[in-house]
Amino acid sequence: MRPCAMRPCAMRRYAIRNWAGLLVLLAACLPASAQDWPRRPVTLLVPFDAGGSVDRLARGLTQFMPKALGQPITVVDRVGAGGQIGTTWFLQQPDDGYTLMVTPATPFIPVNILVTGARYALDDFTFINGQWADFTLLVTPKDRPFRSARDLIEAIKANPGKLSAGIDFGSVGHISTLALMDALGLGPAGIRLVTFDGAGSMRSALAGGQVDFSIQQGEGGETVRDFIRPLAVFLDHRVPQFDAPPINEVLQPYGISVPLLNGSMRTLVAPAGFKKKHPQDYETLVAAYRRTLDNPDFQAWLKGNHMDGQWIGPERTTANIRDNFEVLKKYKDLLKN
Amino acid sequence: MIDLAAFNSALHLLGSSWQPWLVLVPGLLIGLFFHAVPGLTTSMAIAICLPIIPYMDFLSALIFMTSMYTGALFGVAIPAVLLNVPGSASAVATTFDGFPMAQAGRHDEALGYALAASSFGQFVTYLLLLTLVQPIAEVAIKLGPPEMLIVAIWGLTLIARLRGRHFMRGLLAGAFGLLLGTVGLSLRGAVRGTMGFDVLLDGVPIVPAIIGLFAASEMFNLVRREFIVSDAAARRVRGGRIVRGVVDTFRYPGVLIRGALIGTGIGVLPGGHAIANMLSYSEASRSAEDPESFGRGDPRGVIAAESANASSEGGSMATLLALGIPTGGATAVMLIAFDMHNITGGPQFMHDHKDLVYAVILSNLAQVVALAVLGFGFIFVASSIVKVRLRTIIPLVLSLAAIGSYALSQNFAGPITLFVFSVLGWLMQRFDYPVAATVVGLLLGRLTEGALLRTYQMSGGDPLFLLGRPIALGFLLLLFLSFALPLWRNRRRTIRPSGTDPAN
Repeated sequence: MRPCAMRPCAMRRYAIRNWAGLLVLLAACLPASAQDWPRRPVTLLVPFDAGGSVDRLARGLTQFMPKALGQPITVVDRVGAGGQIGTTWFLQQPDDGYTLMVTPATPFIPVNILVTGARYALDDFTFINGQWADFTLLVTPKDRPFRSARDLIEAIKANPGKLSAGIDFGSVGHISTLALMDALGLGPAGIRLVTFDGAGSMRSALAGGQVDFSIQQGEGGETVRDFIRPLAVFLDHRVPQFDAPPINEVLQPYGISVPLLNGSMRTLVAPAGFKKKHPQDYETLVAAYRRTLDNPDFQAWLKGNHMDGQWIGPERTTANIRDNFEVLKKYKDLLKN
Repeated sequence: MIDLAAFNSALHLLGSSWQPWLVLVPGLLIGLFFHAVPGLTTSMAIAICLPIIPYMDFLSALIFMTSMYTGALFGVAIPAVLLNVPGSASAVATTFDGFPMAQAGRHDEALGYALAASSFGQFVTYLLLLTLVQPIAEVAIKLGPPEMLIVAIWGLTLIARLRGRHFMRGLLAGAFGLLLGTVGLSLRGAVRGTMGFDVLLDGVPIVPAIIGLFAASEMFNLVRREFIVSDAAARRVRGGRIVRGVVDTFRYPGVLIRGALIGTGIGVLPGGHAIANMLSYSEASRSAEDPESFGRGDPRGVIAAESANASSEGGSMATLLALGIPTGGATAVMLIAFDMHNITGGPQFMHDHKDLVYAVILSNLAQVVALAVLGFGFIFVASSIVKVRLRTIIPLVLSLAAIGSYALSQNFAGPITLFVFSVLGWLMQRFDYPVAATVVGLLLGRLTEGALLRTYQMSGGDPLFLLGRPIALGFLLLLFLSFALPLWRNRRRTIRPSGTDPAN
């Protein structure tokens, strides 16, 4: 701590004058408005691979949201462990609103917490809006004789422990498979669960007829559509994309039903501390994001990329994620072994 | 097998516009460069180039991406041969004989062998694709976990060939690698061996671990030497020697063709492109008359590894183009181009756009020719590294590897893994445990475990299940023959010794 001993004091004065000049310059560069946030670019974390569906959605936001926010947005992908590595990193950043996250909040955050031992809780997040939700679909390879979900269920009941189901561990499809077996009174031993490492390899296996059926995400089904026969949708209504009845309609004659879980809900997420410590800034963020969703150009872009741009708001999004969390918790022990 | 109308229209597509050709050479160079520099990877190249993809038309985008991979497939061989640094799993077997050749001053030749084998392998696989894309894809889709399991076990038998001086130490090193391969979240959701570190949930970071085990430990060994090549006279780059390597490659047509067929066949399996080079190396050394020369700078080792590695990409391309299903490597990335241009893959794609499929395959053939020329120049530049003193190379390579491993994981998991495995690799070498066996175990452990688990799950534990899988039975027979034939031949030779001593 002897700066003057290290170099001439005149030099130091000169340096101070320079710094002061720089500060004045910097101040001049700031926007004239007295806005508190954002004063610098915002980082959008995606805890999944570049090029995947969440990443592409986030990159869409970087194109359209800066207009409403007044600051540029950059995307950072931090991949690993079903989103757990990126999400952990996200919570380690300052909760000043300069790091936000886009992620399929359900099922990944609940699965990280319940199954893979993530050291965070639902209360650590502020869920702003589940913008794009997917549903799940019961499918069978085309070479199998099952013409309807009822055929398949009858076959499972007639040959307990003989039919095989492809699953991606911890996915909503996995939990829905367990829930279906539970409702049928067979338990997980009623079928052969075959665990694949990722939805992609599972779809290849389905296309190749390696398993008898699978409950998987609706969108992903698009690529293997020619190899599969959709049997039921996990929704309370039919959808135009797939000619299949709602699952609970199929189960009605048996007097049973299964919970309908979101396939994957891509959600804009802020750290919980941001809303608590900076409520004003949080409101700015929500308003800017809503304006972005209202932008017809953004909606057109989403449509062109086969994405959704719905506004359901923080309350419904959070409630939805909590509901999913409770259902997942119920099947947690089944998942664990 | 070729749809002539579509073929003509593909020629027209490629011939009528210069635009798709414009991206070919830059793609090749990016691929070559990003894989020739230790620490950089193709995924980084893709991440950097992703934003310009939407501005290209679909055919150009596909050609750009495939040429990056064509370049990368040979690029990985360069540091593998010159520095013992495999940039990815697919170049591991290239180091086995490539680096000993370089140390003996035969670096030019080794790279010539690698270039020729890589170009040849790619050429064969794309010719096969051009004529048989549909049947290859239809067979590929029928391959499931049981078939994968047999191939993985086949790959694991390589451990026995990498034993070094002590057989048991080789097996121990391999078993250690297999155990390391099980670290992380299992397919059934069990968290194993992570010691509480979230970063290990996806397993040990493979590339930093390989570089640590192979390269860093080798660098420590070389520390007392002045140059990679001890012989001062051989420390030059000689075009003539490169050409000799290229020409001599074709003196081993059996090794070359077997490599290309293994590569294409294994490449159609998910994750297969990482095994192809090892399986081909293993088969080449097993069927050789003088297996003991492998691992000491035998050109056949380089040729076997490179031709299989190069052709594995073609196998995985078949399933993508004909069925829209990627099996890893380039093909997963190519789906991004599909997405960005709003084109749905799947069998419908091949049906509707057969001309486009042919155009991509034809351009791949053209890329291979361009690679042979560009690669030659690239070797010239890259080989100059033998003139640099090791006291400059060692710190440079190690710091590049450290930075690269950081870039790969975007946290300190990469550099820490590199450090831990460098120390481990050095210790293993010091006590005569073959690091290569550990690497093979580490690479194949996860794959083998997954295939074994799924086979067990599908069959419900019933071994008779295999009887319903003719392809698996066929693989099993091949595996058995590949073991039995050399044994049988050896026995015959000991009974009736003849003058078939191999030319040394």
